[in-house]
Amino acid sequence: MASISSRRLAKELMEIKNDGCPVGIDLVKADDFSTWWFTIEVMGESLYPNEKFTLQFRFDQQYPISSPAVQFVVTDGREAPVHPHVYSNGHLIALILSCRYVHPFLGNEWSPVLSVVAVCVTLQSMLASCKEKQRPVDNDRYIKHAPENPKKASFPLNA
Amino acid sequence: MAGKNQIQKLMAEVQDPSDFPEHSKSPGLRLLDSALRCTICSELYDGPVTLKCGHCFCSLCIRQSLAEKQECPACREEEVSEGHLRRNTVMEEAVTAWKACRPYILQVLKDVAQHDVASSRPSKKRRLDEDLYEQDVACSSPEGAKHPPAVKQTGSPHPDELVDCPVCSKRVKYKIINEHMDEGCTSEPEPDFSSKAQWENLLGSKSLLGKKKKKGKERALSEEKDDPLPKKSYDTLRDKAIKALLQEHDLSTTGSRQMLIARHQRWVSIYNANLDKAEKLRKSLPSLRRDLEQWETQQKNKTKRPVVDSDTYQIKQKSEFDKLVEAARPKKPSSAIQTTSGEMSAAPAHVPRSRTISPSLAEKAIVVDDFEDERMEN
Ligand SMILES: [Zn+2]
Ligand SMILES: [Zn+2]
Ligand SMILES: [Zn+2]
Repeated sequence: MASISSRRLAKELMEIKNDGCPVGIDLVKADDFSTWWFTIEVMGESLYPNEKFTLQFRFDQQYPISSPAVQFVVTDGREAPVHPHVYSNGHLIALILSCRYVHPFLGNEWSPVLSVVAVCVTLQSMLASCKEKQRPVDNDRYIKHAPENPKKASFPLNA
Repeated sequence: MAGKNQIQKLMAEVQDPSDFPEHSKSPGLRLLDSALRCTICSELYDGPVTLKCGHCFCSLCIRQSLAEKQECPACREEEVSEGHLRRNTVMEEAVTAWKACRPYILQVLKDVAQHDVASSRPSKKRRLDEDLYEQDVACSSPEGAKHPPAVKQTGSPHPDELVDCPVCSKRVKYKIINEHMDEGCTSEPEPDFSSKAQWENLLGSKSLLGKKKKKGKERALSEEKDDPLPKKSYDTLRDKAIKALLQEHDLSTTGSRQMLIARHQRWVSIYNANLDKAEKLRKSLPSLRRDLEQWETQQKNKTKRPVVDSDTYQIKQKSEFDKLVEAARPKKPSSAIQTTSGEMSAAPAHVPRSRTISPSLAEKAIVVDDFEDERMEN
């Protein structure tokens, strides 16, 4: 029984298979319709030369109406990029899935017409435009109480 | 691993623009196929509707999206509500025609390709995309792109051949018939090129060939029932009243209040989206009910999936939550028909206040679903 979200993800995978990923982005794992991994590298001059990061996407049954949960993988020696918007546990600050780098007119929020690859490109651009390698100022506080799923993060912190 | 098989199977089955050769080989076909697809679900438009800005989506897709956020997903034009949706009948007809000729064109292209190769296996039909073909083989029988038929059939038809679904009697490709039935007959019907019905579709005219009389199966929603269902403001309704609403449509009345509301809301969306289709393309009420049941099962399955921690599961219907939030607030008087502008007032509540990032980013930071206890399961 294939849900809309699975079918949509299958099509995104087809597209990746046929057209490949943008430069610096690679699909490393898509065994199922719940968790995918990509690696991203920043091309050209940047604060992250020769660094490769792993990005994890998790999808729920409402994808693409609901955004994927996105974070950097920090297990098995992998590390999150040092960036003012990236916590050391791999979560992105306030979940900036801003796709403005790819779709300037779309602003920073998730839209169901966006794709997994679009998010990868966005985060790649976020790193590429980084001016100073540092963690978010509340990093230590955040990672102590951070929920496992970054999509859960904002509510408790705002409460 | 089961997931992997599933993903490969689905990749082999889904239709997408890459079924056609690239632009240099068959100019325009990929573009055409992609132009007729909804950018939310990537399927050929199902009940296409257009927003004020001109962007077009499947009715059900955009209704779900608007429940999350009242804007056009493609251009972000704001203050869009379901009331702005307009049926795009021209697109619907184009899609109907395209569905009819798509398999034909693929077959012709395949034949041409085979001819070119002067194939040594002339009887063996294969997909243009060799890669796909191999995948299909890898995860099914060595026979090729066939899944064992649930329907008893003498001499298996070609995978792309259209067969009558024994359940809903739609025309469905043989290779996806099992999937189709598993899905409760929700997949795209494959129109028959030769039939009168098809001519009717192509001509897009109800009157030209006269209305079809109902067949043995149940007829699609009849004209008398053309009115969309009003949205309800559930906060003013007791459980009993909500159950009555569900009963009115022969829907299950089991589960928590939350479930009842979610179920009814989904029903309203499915029902109204169905009305955005040409009458002859509409589904029957039993078929819509199956869709609803399937949707509910999917919600539940997702929560049980072992791969992901239970936390990953998000509220599926933020609109429900909006309603609940609204319920807890002083309300301006509203009629039973809730206009979507009512929901807009609740929307800003979901924008997370971010602490350290620049205001511009904070403002625009993605709206997340964080209502973890909103589950279909009680
Ligand atoms: Zn759609
Ligand atoms: Zn638009
Ligand atoms: Zn069927």
